[in-house]
Amino acid sequence: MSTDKTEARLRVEDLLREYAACIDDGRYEEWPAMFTEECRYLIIPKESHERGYVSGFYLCESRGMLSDRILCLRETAIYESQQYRHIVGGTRVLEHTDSGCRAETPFAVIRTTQDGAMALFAAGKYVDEVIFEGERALFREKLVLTDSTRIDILIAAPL
Amino acid sequence: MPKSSTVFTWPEQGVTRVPYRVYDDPAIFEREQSLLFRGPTWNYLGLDCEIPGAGDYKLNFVGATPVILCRDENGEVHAMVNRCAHRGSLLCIEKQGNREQFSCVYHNWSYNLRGDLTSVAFKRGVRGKGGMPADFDNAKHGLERLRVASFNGIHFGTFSAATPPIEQYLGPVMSAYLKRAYNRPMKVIGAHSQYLKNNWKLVMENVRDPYHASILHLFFGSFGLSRQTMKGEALLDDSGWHHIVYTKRGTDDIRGSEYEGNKLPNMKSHLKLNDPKILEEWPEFPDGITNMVQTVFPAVTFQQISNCLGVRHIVPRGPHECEWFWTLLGYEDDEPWQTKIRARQANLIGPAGFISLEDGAVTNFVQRGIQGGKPDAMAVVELGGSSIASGEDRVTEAPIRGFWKGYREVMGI
Ligand code: FES
Ligand SMILES: [Fe+2]
Repeated sequence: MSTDKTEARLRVEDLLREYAACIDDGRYEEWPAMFTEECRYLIIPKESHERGYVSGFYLCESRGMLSDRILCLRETAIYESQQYRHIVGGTRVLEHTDSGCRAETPFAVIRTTQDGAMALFAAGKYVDEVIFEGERALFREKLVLTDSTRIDILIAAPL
Repeated sequence: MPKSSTVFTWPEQGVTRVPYRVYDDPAIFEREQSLLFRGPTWNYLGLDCEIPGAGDYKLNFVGATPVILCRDENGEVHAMVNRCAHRGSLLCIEKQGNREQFSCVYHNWSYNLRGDLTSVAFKRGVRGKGGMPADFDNAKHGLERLRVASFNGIHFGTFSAATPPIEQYLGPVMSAYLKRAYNRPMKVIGAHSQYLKNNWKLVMENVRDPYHASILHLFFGSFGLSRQTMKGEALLDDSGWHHIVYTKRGTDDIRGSEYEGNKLPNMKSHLKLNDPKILEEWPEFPDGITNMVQTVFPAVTFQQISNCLGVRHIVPRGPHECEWFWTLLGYEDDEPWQTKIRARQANLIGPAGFISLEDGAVTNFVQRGIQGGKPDAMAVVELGGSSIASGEDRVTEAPIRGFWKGYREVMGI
C-alpha cells in the first residue's frame, strides 16, 4: 500500500484531532497511548530549540514517562483547576513514506481558569514524526515549539 | 489594602512578622527601586558563557531597570542602563546578540561597548543650521553605568558606590558554595521564563523556605527525593542576607520519624513511576549534596537538583507581578549522556516542574489572599523561633527571616 501525501496528511490530521480532544476533554490517561513505546515529547520555546538548547518545559522519552506526567498531574501536582481548548490549524506534510511522515501544524491553546478568566495561553507549532501501523497512526516524536519563551504562571496538562 | 506613600514602621516583633502591605503597596515598590535595587546590593546580570566573545551582549534587568551586559574588544565585561542618554528610548531591543556599538534607532546617538557616547547625528546641524550647542560634550552624556563584579563566571552589577567587594558581600561560606558548582566553563542548555501574578518578594521567600518543600511538593516526599530526615543544612552568611539549603539523599533512616508508614497526610509513597529514568543521576559533587538552593540577596537563586544546574532570577514587573527567568546549565566539557540526564531532570523544575509547578500557584494564592485585609495584617514567620542563624535542621524559616533582615536594612524600615 503506498501512502500519498494527501492520505498522509489526513492521517496526521485525524491523529491531531484525537490528540487535542483527549487533552481538552481531560481524558489524560488516554494521551500516552497516542505515542510509540519509545518516543520523544518535548515542549520547548521555539527560540530555545533554534539555539540548540535541549531543556524545555516537558521532556518525555518513553510512553512510561508520558504516563508519569499524567500520574503526577493527577496525584502530586497542586494547582488551580483549568481548562484548555486547542485550536489546531492546517497540517503541512514535510516528508512521507509508506510507513510514516513528518508534518508541521500550527496550534493555539486558550486556557480558562476557574474564576472564568479566559486567555490565550500558548501558540506555536507542532513538529510531528508520525508512524503508520496498519490502521493506527502514532507519534514517534512530537515537538511542541512555543512562540513565546514565557509561560503564564505554570503548565500543568500537556499542550 | 490602604495605599500609602508614607513610610510605615515595621511590627515590633521584628522579622518574625511581615506586614502584608510590603507585597502590595505601590509606594513601597517605588522605594525598592531606589533604595534596594539601586542601593548597596549586587544584582545578578548574567554568565560568562552567555557573552563569550567580544561584542557579545545580553539584556537583563536590575529591579525594573533595563540593563545591557556586554563584553568589549579587550574582553572586559561592562553593564549599563539600556536607555538612550538623549530622550530615553530603549537602546537595544533584541535580547541577545553581538554588536560593535549600540546605536539608538530614534535619532542615531551611538555608544561604544563601554557606554561612552561616540556620535550624535547632525551634531553640527545641516548646512550650518541647527545642531547641538558648540559646548555640548559627548563625554558628559554616556550611558549610566553599573559597577560590575565577576565571580567565577557569574556577573553581578551595582549602582551604588557603597556596595562592598563581592567576596565580602557574599561572605566566606556563600562564596565557597558558589565556587563549588561554578568551577569551570559552563554552557546554557535551556532558557525561559515564568510570568507570575504576585509580588517578587513572595518568590524570594518561597525559594528560602525549606518548610514547604516536602509538604507542598508531594512529588518530593512521595518519591523519596527530599525528606526532613535526610542530612542537610540551612546556612546563612553572617549578615543573614544570603542563604543555602541543601540535603543529601541516601543519608536518612525514616524509622520512628513522622515519615514512617505514611503518617504524613500528604505522603503518597504507594506511587510508583512507570519509567524512573527521570530520577537517573550520577554523583557529581564529592560532598554528596543532591539538592541545593542558594540565594544571593536580593533577587537570584542558584540551584542544583541532582544534576540539574541552573540560575533563577526574579525581575519585578510592578507591585503585583514579576518575571522569573530560568537559565539551565551544563558544563562545556559535559559528555552527551550527561547533557541528556540534565535535560531529563529539568522535568523536575520550572513552570511545569514536578517539584516546582506548585510554587507559582501558591505565591499567587498569597497575593490574592492578602487583598482587602486589615491594614496591619501580617504573616507569621516563627518556625525555628526568631533565629537568623545556620543550623542542621531545616524545619525552620530562618532563611526567610534573613531575607527580611537584609530588606529592612537597605530599605531603612
Ligand atoms: S532617544 Fe536615542 S537618539 Fe534620541
Ligand atoms: Fe517550592
